Amino acid sequence: MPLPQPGGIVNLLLVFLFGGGGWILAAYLKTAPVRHPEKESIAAGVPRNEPGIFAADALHILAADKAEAKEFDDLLARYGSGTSDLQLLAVAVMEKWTASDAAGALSAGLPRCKDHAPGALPRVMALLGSRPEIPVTSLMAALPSEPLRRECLSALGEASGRASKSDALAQTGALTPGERTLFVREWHRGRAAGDLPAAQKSAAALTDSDDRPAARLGCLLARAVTEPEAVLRESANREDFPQIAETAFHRWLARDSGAAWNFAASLKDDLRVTDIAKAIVKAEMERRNLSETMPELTTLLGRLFPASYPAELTGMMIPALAAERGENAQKFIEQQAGSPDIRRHAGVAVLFDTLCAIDPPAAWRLAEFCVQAEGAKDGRASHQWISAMKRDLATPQQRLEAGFPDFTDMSNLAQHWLKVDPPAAITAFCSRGVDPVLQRMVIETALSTSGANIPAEELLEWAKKQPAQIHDAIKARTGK
Amino acid sequence: MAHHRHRERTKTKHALLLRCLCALVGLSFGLAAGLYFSNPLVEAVNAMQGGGAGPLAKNAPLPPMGAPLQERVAAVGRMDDDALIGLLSAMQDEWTRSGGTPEAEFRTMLNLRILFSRWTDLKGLKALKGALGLKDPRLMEMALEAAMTEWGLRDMLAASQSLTLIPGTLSRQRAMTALVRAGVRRSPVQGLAITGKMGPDAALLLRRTAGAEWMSRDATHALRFLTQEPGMNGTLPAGWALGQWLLEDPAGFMAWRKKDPAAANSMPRMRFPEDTISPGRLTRLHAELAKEFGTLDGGAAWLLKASGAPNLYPLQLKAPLAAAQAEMDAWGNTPAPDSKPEVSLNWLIYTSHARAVRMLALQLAESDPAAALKWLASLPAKEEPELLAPAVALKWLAQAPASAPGRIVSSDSANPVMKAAAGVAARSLVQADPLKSLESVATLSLDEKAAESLKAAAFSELASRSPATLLDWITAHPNSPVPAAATAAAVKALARTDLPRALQWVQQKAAPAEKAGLMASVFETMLRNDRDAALEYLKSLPAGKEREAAMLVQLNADIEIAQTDTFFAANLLPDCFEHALQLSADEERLKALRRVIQCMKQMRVPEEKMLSHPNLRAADRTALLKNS
Repeated sequence: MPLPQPGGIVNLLLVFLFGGGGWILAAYLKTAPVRHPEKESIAAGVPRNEPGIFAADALHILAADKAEAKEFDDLLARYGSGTSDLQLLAVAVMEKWTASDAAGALSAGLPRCKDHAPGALPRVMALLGSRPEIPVTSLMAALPSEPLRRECLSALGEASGRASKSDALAQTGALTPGERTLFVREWHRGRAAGDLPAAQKSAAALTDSDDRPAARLGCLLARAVTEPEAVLRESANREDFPQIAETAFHRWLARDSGAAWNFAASLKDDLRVTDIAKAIVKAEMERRNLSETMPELTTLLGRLFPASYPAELTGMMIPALAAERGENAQKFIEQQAGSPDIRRHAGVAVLFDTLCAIDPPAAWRLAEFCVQAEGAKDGRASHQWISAMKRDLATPQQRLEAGFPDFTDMSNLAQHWLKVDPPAAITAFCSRGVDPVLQRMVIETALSTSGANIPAEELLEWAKKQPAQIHDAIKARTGK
Repeated sequence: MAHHRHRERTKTKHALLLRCLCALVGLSFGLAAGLYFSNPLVEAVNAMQGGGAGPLAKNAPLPPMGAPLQERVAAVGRMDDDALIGLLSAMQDEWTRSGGTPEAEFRTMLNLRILFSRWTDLKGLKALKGALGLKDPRLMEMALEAAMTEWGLRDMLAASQSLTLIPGTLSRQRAMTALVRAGVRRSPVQGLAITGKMGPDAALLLRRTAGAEWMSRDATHALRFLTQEPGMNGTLPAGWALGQWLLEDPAGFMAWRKKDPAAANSMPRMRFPEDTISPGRLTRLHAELAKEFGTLDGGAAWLLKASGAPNLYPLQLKAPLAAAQAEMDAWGNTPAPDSKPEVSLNWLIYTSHARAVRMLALQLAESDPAAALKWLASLPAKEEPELLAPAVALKWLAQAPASAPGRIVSSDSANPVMKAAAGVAARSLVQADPLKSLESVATLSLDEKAAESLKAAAFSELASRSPATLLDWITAHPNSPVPAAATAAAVKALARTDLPRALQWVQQKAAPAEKAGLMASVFETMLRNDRDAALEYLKSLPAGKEREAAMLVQLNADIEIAQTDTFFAANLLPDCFEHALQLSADEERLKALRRVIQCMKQMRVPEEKMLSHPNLRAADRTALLKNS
């Protein structure tokens, strides 16, 4: 057989060489499959579990000039009714829809939001309320029922005030007195944000004796944002001063924190010093982590309250600190108490309540700490309250004086713990050395319809695999 | 030869042609095969980048730092880590500028989801750290949720291993639930399985979150998987998940109930997590129940049966007043509680009832505070409804600031609930307009004690807010008794701003019995403002009670000064002694003399000379010597 000629080999080589080159070129030209579908792809059937699809949909909606029912329905098909993803995107769709076709958004968009994204309704009401072509009457008629109604009404009031829809104030006939006050206040608040003299003129022109103060409060709240210092000084005698102070400090701190802090520091002997301190602490807590802002806050509060902080203030700060880190809250109480023994400070009751909700095992340890210290009395299995209502309304100081922690505190802990981790709660309460009254209480709470409402059979089923002590205790209480 | 050469050339030409052909064939086959079978060398052009021409094209430059936020967000698909950090900072600035309003929350969350979708495509851990670096706690929580949702859709395992980086129990829980939801969207079974490894403390929370997410796709399967565990370990998360799903998507739940009645009938007791209850969801649940069962009551009956609990206050299925009345009816029929609340179950029932009454009263007050007060007033005394009255009254006052105080105050004052509310309303009346409240006392049906207390509060408020008005009012109402403390406070306050007017009022209008005390108040201010003028004035005063009261003020002021400085003491105290000698009332004089002598001893000023003062009366000397 003749050997292949050199020319043939060269040809073959050429085929392979160019073939390889073609392959590489093709690979270069070919892009990876697009993970995020193109814009046109907001369509039913595309699964929402695809990474990046939400972002692609959001960008598409944000880039579009208009939106309509189709976009909403496509989103609904992809994300499902009632989901938070749908709610976020629905607001974006409604923004575009309202801008391009407000009447359509009202007639077709609003009912869709009501049915599938109710959380977006206040925002949608505000969007529609700000459009001049949409009469307030039609929006009032479309207001949802309670408990969402007030939130929507408030948003609608502010938006129509911003849009200077004076006729809105005449449309409040069908509202209850409380709703009417809310609407008038928010309308004037919105109006004052754009044109304060006009809002003040409108407030002065109101004839209803309840509308007028509500309108004035709305104007004050709007002014509190722009000229906080003047508003705080002139409203010091008002009963709603705390609300005004909160509004004022919320924006003031973000804009010019130095001036806000100096103002607060200058009010050392003012009658409203506690309200001011509460407002500033609340605004700071919303702005920054409390543990971060503590050094500055401590300096300010130390100047305002040289002896000790008011109970309302500690009642605000302890839960926030505990939510960040339990130890921070404990340290704060130690500073307030002036010693590491926090058991005689009312803040310990506040800390306990907070821990019950966010970290029940830590609350259990705190209760143990309170009763195990030298000289402490263990009152966890009894209580001194003669009325449940009084106990429910008692202040931390009153609870401390009545003996903290007591049976009610432990019962609250049991209820919270049983909601998040029933096995752990029952195991802790039924462990060796715990008072039988508390053991009985936790099992009764687990079974009671006012408590965790766990069926007896299910509790027994679980108890079978537990130590004999727990099993016996549960068996004794269930009678099975 | 030429022919041979020609043949050779032709052959070469053919060979070259053949080679070109071979190259072409190779290239074509290579291209075709490559297009079908090769791995792409170029990263995909993301949909977010758009492609094609324009600013969204993949090679278009990134928007500059100062560009509008939305423009930067639109270009997020082309950004690398550094650019994403910059964009996150810009979002934080925007959030701070907007003041964190609810409107801003929607847009910010949307932007965060877009940003973290890209960032977790690049590097999940860095994205998480970026979220954790945010200063604003609310924004950080939102960013954590967005980051975990996007990372969970891509790599749940890696995301779950980084949860420990998140400080703060609540933030971690929120991030965990977002992660679990995303994981279940990718793979329900894996998502549910991984919950056990994420945090034993929050196992129930995570299982129910996973269950609720899964149920929105396939409830029957989800229920089967959740209830695999025996006893309450299976039924509790399933019950919570069912409740959460019902709240999130009531229409979907009802559709499943009809589609799979067997599974729906054997489902465990439904429970409703408080963290998923929102006004929007409740409104939708109410509408869906009414639609499904004809009336809300029908829906409520089904829900009560499905949950096995007699009361579901957080869901509030009845109108507030009806719910409140139903609670009292149910309480009346409760056999368990004894007359005396004692420890254990009875106490639990009592506290639950008290909490329910409080919650219902406040809810009713939100919509109709007058009805809430009326309902509280109708409750038996042992319920202690008067303890709740102030809170309800405050709600009413906030809703009707002008008309409510009068209506509350003039209601039946014999009822303890109305009495407690009236106290709050009276304070509000006084706070709003003390003068008007003084005038309206007569028109309100208050008992004598309440009327007196309202008046006293109004006088005190007026004295501090507008002293001149109070003094005018006193002049205009000579027969109305005004507390001396309020008049004194008003005179003192007026003296600070308008001394001649205060002085004139005291001299001409003040009641004779109060004149001396009031003069002392005015003189104290005069002394503080201009000592020389005050002393001149004192000299001009005729002898009498007013003069002596003023002298006493001066004496006290001088002793106070002397006590601070030895030098002043040596000069001032002998003069003080002289002034004290001029006092006519024996008791006052002796008291003043004693104070001066005591101060002299204290400041080491020789007092012997004083005791031999020629004007010192014998009786006074004897008393002072006896003391020393």
